Parts: sequence; structure tokens; C-alpha cells
Amino acid sequence: MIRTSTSQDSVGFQRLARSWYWEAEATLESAREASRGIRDFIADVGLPLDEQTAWELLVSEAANNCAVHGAVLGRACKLDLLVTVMPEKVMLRMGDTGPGFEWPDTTDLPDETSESGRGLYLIDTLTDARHYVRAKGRNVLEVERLFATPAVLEDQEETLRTMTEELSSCYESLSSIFHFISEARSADSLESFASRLLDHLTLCTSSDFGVLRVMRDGKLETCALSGVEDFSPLGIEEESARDFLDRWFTGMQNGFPHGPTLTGIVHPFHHHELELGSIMLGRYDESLPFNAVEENMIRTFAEFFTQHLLGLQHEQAAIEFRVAQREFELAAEIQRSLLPPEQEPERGVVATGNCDSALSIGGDFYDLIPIAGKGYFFVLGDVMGKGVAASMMAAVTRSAVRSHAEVYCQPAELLRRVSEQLYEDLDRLEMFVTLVVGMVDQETGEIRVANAGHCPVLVTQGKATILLEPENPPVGIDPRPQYPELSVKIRESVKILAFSDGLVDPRNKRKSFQDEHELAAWWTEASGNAGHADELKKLLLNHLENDSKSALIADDQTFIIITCEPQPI
Amino acid sequence: MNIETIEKQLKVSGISELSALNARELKSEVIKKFDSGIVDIDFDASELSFIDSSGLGALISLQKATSMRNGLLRIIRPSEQTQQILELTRLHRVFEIVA
Repeated sequence: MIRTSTSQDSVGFQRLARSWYWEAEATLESAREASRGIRDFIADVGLPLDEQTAWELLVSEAANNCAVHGAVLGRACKLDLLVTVMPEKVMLRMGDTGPGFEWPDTTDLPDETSESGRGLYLIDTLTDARHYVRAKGRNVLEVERLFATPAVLEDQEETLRTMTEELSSCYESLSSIFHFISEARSADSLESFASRLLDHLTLCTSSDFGVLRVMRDGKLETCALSGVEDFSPLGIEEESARDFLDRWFTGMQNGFPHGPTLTGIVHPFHHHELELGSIMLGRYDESLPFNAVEENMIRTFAEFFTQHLLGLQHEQAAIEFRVAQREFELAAEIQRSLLPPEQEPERGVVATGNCDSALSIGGDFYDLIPIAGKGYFFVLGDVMGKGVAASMMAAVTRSAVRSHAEVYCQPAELLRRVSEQLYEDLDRLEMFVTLVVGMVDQETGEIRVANAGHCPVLVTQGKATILLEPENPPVGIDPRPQYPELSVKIRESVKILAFSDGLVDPRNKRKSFQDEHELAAWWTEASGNAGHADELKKLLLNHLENDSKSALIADDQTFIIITCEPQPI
Repeated sequence: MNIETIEKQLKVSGISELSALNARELKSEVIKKFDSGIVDIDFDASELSFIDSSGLGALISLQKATSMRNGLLRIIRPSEQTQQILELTRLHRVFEIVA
């Protein structure tokens, strides 16, 4: 039920005193109806929007409280409200039939993360006087809120002052940022730039001190200080940087080197999930906390500094990438220079080779060494893995092979020596090398090959191709290996192909062979169509679509081709 | 009440009052759509003309849900009255407020 009325006050002056009465059972719906009703009533009597909003909220909080806690043992709680507008204030008298409660002496705000407990605080804060009587059968809450016409003017002035302050702060922030954009280009170091930025921000926000720290290797390190000596990061700085949330502080802070009366804010800066650091500003007077305008300015500066920091990090990463790329190119050049040049035939033995790395450098290598009066010694190896590490080990293996020139003609012995020599290093590095070495010896009229876990060597004579398969594990697996020597008599024109597994790797986007048998079949046919090593090389490269530079290969593709004609022994 | 999903964000809008009457409904409707891909919530407060302590409680609850995924609850274009209540309860420090 709702009533409104106009009356005279008790001392008989003709003063406006309008009242509004409402009663109903206390439910959340009726509580909302009451709060809307009082808002309309306050508007009707000509009071400003602030008063309407305040009374709407006040009644909502008080009436909701009755609706939630008022009904006991199925007994409905009745609620009645009487609002009276006096010349200097509005008064509310609210009665309810619920069990009531003890009005606390103080109504503090709960923790910021608490989802309840703000109702009484709002009633307390929005009113100038409160009186609560708890009695059996009926509880009464009386509150009043003063207003005065001059206050309205003061409010307007205050609003105008706040708006001016906010505008001026926005202008100040913008103008500072333009200035610092130009400073950032000429800054000697991050620290000197951060120091100037922090000094300026400390000044703009009337702070007594400022601390700017950046995250390095997971720890906050001081980057700039203003008005304070360096000290270890406070707990709130670390928490803020970690959870990306602002922290406000008042009073003494453990670890802070100055007096106990402090107030301030810690604002973190980050990029997506990456912690970048934090900025702390404070005053030595805890009665002067930062206002919203100053806090916004701090956030704006922090955002600007974040962008500068990210720019520097990207620049540094680009430099490091260019250096690494150059080193990679140099390594590739060195590796290419270790491959043998095209060489003259030796006693009717013609040898050639090719090496394409999946990256610009890789673990495949080959070597061709003419042996005067005999023919050619050949080596083809594949170090586990790709990139710089594999290429370094390839160079080491090549040198190890070349250090045993006295046994070039005994491939099995050479392979045994190289294996023993490299075992310790390969074992420690958890690497291995597949290696095939061989000698095309016109003096003895035979081809001798030793193979440590590498792909088979294909030897074609006429229309028949035999595969000299590996019978022992790669170099680096067995500390004392023994390798059998596989030999083939040179009876007629011979074509030899030694290759790395990249030629039979279906992952390659460039064309390759499905397996060794498909390659062997192709090789047999090609050997019938071409007689010279260079022609066979050209055919094989064409088949592998070697000229299609855009097609990436997943594994290195390396091969050696040797041809020879039988000669009188 | 409108709730729409835009990439990793829930956009809540069309609420004119947030009080004890509908706070619980807001929480449950939003949490229902807060699936594993969602990180942030944008609460469009431009149409909000009234909020009480229960409404604030609901927003804090959603803020906690986003925080657990390192996300944010942003209150977009609150009216002056809503902004005043946030400041009065000092919750303007908890939420990111976009004017």
C-alpha cells in the first residue's frame, strides 16, 4: 500500500513536509518495488538525481535484508516504510516483523574479493544518522540523509573541478607521451630512459617516490628509481607482477627503507601471459592516497613503457636472429668447402657426387680421393640429426677418415680405426654416424666396401645390380667393432651408387624413392641408358627434381656415383 | 539479458537493473556459457540504471571466474551512478572500467 501526504511541522511554520508510506510482505520483488517507489517519490518532490539514486539504493539494501533474513519458520515478514521529506533532509522509518539483528558498531567494507557484506556499509555511508531498535515482534530502522541547496552548488563545483583535473591529466599524459616517444628514439639505454620517464611520472602524480622494475630471468630487477634508494622487491610488487593485478598499500611495508606512513599503488605491466615488470609509486603521507585520475595516469605511463620495452625486445631478437643467420651461412660455406671438387678420372675410374642439405647445413657428407695408379677411395656418411651440431660432427668424421690414408685400400680396417677413434666422443654426445667407405681398385680389379649401418651400396654390372648391405651398427654404438669387407670383382663396365637415406625418405616434398628396392630398379635401368658418371648424376638429379628449389626436403640427400671400365691387372 | 561469445570473450549486455532479484540469474547464465575457451568477460553497463550490493557480488563472482583463467572482467561504459557506487565500495580498483 502506498500513500503520500503534505503536512505542517510541529512548530506551526508553513514548511513543506511531504511523506510517502508503503507496506507489504517482505520479498525480493516487493523490496525492489519499494526502492523504485521511493525513487519516484524523491523525484516527484524535486530532489536531484543523486538523492534519487541514493534513496533507491538505501531502501533496496534495507528491504532486501528483511526479505532474505526476515521470514522465520514459515512466518512471513511484514515490512512498512515511511519516508518524510523535510526542508533540510529526508528521513526514513522502516519497520519489520522479522527476528532482527544486532547493528554493528562499525560497518567496514569486506575484502575486495568478498561477494557479500556491503549492504550495511552502503546504508551507513549513504546516511548521516542511523538508529536501529530490535524488539520482539517489530524492529525499527530510522535513517536520515541531509541535503542543502548550497551543497548542490558545491557538488557542481566539485564535479567541474574533477572534470578539469581529469582533462588536464589526460592532456599531461598525452603531451608527456609525445615527448617520450621522441626521447625513446635517442635513449642510450633502457635504464636511462626508464629513469627519466619515472622522474616525470613521479612529478606529475605528486608522488614522493617511484620504483620501476623489469622481469629478468623470472626475477624483478630494479630498472629505475625516483626519490628513494634501491631496495629488494616488496612482496606486493612480486604478487602484482605475477598475477597482473594492481595492489594498493597504506601503512608500513616490510622491506621498504623509509618511515611507516606510506600510501601508494603497484601497477604491473605485461604482454599477454608474459610478465614484464611493475611500477610502484607512493607518498610518505598515508592520508593522501592516489585518486582515480592519478591512477589512470600511472596506468597510461606503464602501458607506454610496456610498448617501449617490447619494441626493444623485438629489436634485440631481430639482431640475434641476424647474427645467428650469418653464422649459419658461414657454417654452410665451410661445409660446402669441405666437399671434394670435381676431379679427373684415375685409371679409368670416374667419380662424382652431390650433397643437398635439408637445412643449409646438415649431417651428410661425402669424400672422393683419387689413389694414384689404383682408382678412387670414397666415403659417404650421415651424422644423426641436422643443423650445426650434425655438420660439426660430419667435419670431425671426415677428418678422422682422412687421418688414416695408409689404409685407404683396406676399407674394413679403416672403418674399424675410425670407429674406435670416434667412439668416446660420439658416446658422450649421444650421437652416431652411419658410414660407408670403399675402394674402387683397378690394380686388384675389385671393389671393396665396408659399411657401418649405412644404406647399401648399389653395384651394377651389365643388367645385374647387387646391394652391398650393412652388417654392422653405425659408428658410435660399439666401442670395439669389427667390419667385414664386401668385395665385388670388376668384370665389365661398373656403375656404383652410394647414397644417404634422404633419397628414400617419403617425407621429402621433393621427389624421392619409396625404398631401396625402387631406387635399385631405377638405378639398373638408368645404368643401361647412360655410361658416364656425370650423365648418371644428371639423370638422378632430374629424377629427384633437384632444380625445384621451392620444394623443401625433410632429410639431407647425398650420393656418390662412380663408373669404371675393367682394365688389365 | 544478452550473452554472446566473441572468440575468447563473453559479452554480456542488455541489463538495465542488477539487484538481488536477478543477480543469481546473471551468475548462472554467464557461468553456463563460460566454457573452456572463454578467458575474458565484457559487461556492457551502458544500459544499467541500478545496481545494489547483490549485483556487485555477482560481478565479483564473475571476476573471480575470469581471474582463474588469467582473464579480466571489464565493465564497459558504466553510468555516472554506477561508477559512483563502484567507487563508494572501492571496487573500481578490482574491475577494469572502460569509459
